[in-house]
Amino acid sequence: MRKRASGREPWNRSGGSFRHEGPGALVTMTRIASRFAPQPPTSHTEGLAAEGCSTTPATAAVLVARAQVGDRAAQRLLYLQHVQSAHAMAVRLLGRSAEAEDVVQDAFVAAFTRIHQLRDGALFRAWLLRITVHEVHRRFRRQRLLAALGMGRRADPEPDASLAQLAAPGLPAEAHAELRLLDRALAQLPARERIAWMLRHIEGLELTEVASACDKSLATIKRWLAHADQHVQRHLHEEPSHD
Amino acid sequence: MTDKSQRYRSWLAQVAPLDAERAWQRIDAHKEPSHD
Repeated sequence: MRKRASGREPWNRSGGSFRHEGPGALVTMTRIASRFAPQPPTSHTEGLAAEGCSTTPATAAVLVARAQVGDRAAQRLLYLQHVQSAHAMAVRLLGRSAEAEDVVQDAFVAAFTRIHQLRDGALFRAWLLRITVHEVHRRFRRQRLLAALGMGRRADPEPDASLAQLAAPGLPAEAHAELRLLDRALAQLPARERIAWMLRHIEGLELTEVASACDKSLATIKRWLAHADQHVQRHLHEEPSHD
Repeated sequence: MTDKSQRYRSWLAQVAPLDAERAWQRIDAHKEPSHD
């Protein structure tokens, strides 16, 4: 944990406080967490906002403290609270649902295996985000390695993220065309810059949050984003308009 | 990029949810010893 979250994270928007002061607290937390049972499709921003209002840092800290001593029920509650937003982000970063599920599983397994290393339980979400981004990055590296060895998915015209495939149904053709252009622009960037760009512009994270998620300095993230922004804008403007 | 970012976010907001209970069973299979 070299870098700390800014405290302005969507998931830290406290809609009230939760105090753990008695044996009934876990029951209360269970009721809170029951609201995070599998939900119908929702936007990632709605998910973050919902979590920010219902899961205070204090709640997360209590759950993490219990999870750190092997409380599987607490781990399960942490999982249910965070899995959908982590999964949605992984889907968008990877462009594939099946791989995203594997990434999220690997991220949670890694998180629970190392949870004793998390000193401030209130930062669980930021910590999980960093682990998930790391797992996404590993997937990209593996895809590129397999492609370089001629073992990639030959039939797949877009081996990395494909935003156009994730577009909401019913979008106009112009929107699909713009997302395809964006896909092509992002595919030309190094994976680290593409991930940072997407965290900033698709996931809507603050710069400090992107830096934390990528485990890089703010200066490095600003440099990557400046390069990626320039590349994306140039690419979009060079392509023929579909309007 | 702000306007474009918001547009992209709205286009990509819907992601089919994970079957969390089934996925938890997979994770639960990776039980680790506690660190206490």
